[in-house]
Amino acid sequence: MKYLSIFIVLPLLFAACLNEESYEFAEIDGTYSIPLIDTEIKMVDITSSSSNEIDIVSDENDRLTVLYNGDVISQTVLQIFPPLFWFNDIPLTEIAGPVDIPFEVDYNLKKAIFKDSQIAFKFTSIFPEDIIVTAKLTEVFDEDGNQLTQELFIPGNGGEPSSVVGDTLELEGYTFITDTNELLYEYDARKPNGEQVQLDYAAMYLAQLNFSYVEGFFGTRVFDIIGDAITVGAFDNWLSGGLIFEDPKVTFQVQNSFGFPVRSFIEHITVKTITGSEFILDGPNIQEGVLFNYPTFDEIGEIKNTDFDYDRTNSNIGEIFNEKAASVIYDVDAIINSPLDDQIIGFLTDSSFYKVQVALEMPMFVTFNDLKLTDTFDLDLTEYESFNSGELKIINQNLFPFNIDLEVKFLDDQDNEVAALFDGDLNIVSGTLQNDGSVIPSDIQTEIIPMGETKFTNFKKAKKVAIISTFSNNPLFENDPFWILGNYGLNMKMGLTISNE
Amino acid sequence: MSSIEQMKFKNSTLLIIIIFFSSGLLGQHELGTYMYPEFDYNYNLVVNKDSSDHKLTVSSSYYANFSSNSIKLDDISDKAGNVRTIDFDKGVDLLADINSSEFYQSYNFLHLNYNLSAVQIKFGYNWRSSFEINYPRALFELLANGNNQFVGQTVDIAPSLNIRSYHDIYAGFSGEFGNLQVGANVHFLSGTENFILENASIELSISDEIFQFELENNIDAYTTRILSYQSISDASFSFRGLDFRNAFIGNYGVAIDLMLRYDLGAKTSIFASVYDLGSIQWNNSNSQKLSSTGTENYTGIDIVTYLDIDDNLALRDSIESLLSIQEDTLAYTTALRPVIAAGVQHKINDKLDLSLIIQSQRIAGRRYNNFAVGLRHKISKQLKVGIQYSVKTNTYNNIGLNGSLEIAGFQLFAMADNILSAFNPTGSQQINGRIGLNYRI
Repeated sequence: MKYLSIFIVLPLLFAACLNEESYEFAEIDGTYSIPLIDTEIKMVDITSSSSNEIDIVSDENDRLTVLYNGDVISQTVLQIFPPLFWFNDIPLTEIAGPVDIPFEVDYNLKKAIFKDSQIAFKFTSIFPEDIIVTAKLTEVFDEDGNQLTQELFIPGNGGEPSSVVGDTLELEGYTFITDTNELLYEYDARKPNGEQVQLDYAAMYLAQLNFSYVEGFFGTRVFDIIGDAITVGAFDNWLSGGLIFEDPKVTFQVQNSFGFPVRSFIEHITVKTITGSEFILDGPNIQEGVLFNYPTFDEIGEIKNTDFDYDRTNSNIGEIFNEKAASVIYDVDAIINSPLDDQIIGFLTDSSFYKVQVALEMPMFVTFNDLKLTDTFDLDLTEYESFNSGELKIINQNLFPFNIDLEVKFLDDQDNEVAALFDGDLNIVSGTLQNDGSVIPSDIQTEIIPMGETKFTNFKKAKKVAIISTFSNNPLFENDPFWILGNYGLNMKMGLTISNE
Repeated sequence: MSSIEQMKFKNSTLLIIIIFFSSGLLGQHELGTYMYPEFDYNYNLVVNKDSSDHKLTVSSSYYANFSSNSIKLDDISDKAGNVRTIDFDKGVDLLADINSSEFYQSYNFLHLNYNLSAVQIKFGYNWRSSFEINYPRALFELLANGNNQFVGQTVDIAPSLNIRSYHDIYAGFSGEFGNLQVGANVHFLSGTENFILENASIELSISDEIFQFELENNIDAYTTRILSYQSISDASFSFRGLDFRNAFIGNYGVAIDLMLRYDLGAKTSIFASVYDLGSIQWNNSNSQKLSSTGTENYTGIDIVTYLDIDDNLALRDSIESLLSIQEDTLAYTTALRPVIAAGVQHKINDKLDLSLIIQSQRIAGRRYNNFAVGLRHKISKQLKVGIQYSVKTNTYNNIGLNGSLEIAGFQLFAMADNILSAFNPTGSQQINGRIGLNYRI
């Protein structure tokens, strides 16, 4: 528009080239009408805009459930059965014997398949003759069932020490079978004449013990899975009244591919309310936890799912949650081979893990009890400084089966009210709920809100706007819960006329 | 000139010219021009019998014209000290359905007229610049009083604009064959800047529900240097006018002038002429076509689109996005604005001539027909003065003066179609004049 203005007056200005003049535009005394909002917002639109922390999902009947997701916690084989690192020679003091594997935990291994592991033998002879050595790990077998064997030649050195380090042997694919958690070795050293001798020094170097598959008993151990909090936004802006969720749940979704029993142990689940009070989730089975499903030996590599909930049927969540929950704080452990479970020989692979997702599930089967929420936004009305009156036109149609009352208050820097948009509330009348859950939309309501000079002047003093929304059940079912469906919503159009005349 | 607020006009050549109008002198495409066939200047294709005693005539002249068919600057502004405050609201009731304004100036730096026995050969150099606009009343009302007045209506707010500046080298002749005179000029043109928006349509419809509006655009604008457009919020406007930069490095064109004059006996002549029949091809790398075609609606912000993004509701951005302008760099051709004139001159006696003139010309794509009647009095051989009344671009209060004075081989001539404007230019719808000087060798 600026350029259009220039184009119109420019020829006129050429006519005024008589004196040095400067030009300015007078304030335009105009009345402007602009469409502000034209929206048909439905719950399904909100569903599609869910964030990572909050999901809103609908079931086959279009009924909505809000999911507040906690962090996903997983533990892998690296935490349960970490690789073992050795950096020193392991002396072989006899020509045959065991080498203890220094596991930190009292494992009872039965079978393990090596990966990323190497071994080397070292020998020193003080015999003047040449020595031929055959070294073995007697319980480590290749794929054909042959023991791991290495032959070494130690040249004689006239009676002086002569040392040999054998080639490093890759253990990848070798199978270790044991009943004792020990690596059994033996070496056979002979002179050229066939005489068996014991060497002055024999050792085995094993840099790392790592397995792609392990079978055995892995001990009873406790792992701290999660100590976290789920923030519940439903009552963030609560002012008064109530919103009753009929069936809130804390849900656990577990994936597990370890082949032995793992059980959850609830240290505590605490519901913290918007007033700061804390309530402990309690119930008959909470303490003993839930055993995660796990794969059998026929299911190695498979992932087993376990879902379990704490709801009204097995806990006190219904009572404590409707105290206007602000967050759910939980601390959960995982116990492997709990005394409550069978002490079995299990297995793990190098890809084994368990993953736990805790969530708060709030089916939108609710009762509004004059729930009043408020939210405040900063406001910048400097663009309207030159205007002095206006009129707001609002056209709405309620597709929700509950009443919505709106108050819009304009506040100064100190949160003092300087003006209210409506004289009283804008009452958006409930649609009519049908037996099948559908809603007959309310009649279209048109509201004209004049904003005279005094009101408009007060608006311009505002630095914030507070929107107070009150939700209440339709009086026809005042105390009955109802489902909120995905196709519920609100059609709203808003146009503004402002004037500086 | 990116902002109107920054415009300052100092005393200029134009000032001198306009002051000269008050001396009662006369101009060229101003209607009084046609009353003086004996002047030598760029557009005169009549055989100049006054200069037949001379071999060569050298002349130079300047012409400027402002016209408006509706509002005047005084109508929409107040002046306090040196500050003029423009208030569109003042002009609303004075508007015609379609309103035209133009500013045109032409320097005829050099004009040579060489007499041969049968014909007169002409050669010269001009610089010319024009700024023309037509705009509907609705556009002005929209700017002045906002859009609320159009709620429930559809109005076309498209203006037409034609701005051009160019350099002009010309050559021509005039010849007399019995009672018939024939004249022609051929112009070689080089443009320096241009903006043209014609035959555009911007239909604005505003609903009475919540004031949703619809723009049905059919806009093709072409610009070379004047409007630099990157986006709706990044555009600059620059009108240089007389500018020797970029002359004769492209944007070439050709135009012709033609004139026929026939003597009906000793006292009466009739003539018909057409000037500036030609075009310029704008092929500079700065030449752009800006287009906006189609229907755009704005119904308000749909909150659903903001649900999963953090942006604030952006009303201004949403509205500006409606003006989706396609930008292409390309060469284009614009016609000049031909002026067609015809008339009759009659010698009432040795001292007094009567002229009747009709003239037709386009302003920003809209044709205006003008009419003038004038009397010229030969006070002496050296001094002639004339007075005229004209109807120009639908204005009816134009009293013109014109005259010429010869001293020592020099002929000074000047003319204006509306002498009253000299006293009150900002209150006039028509301001124009030509001043020129001939020297005959």
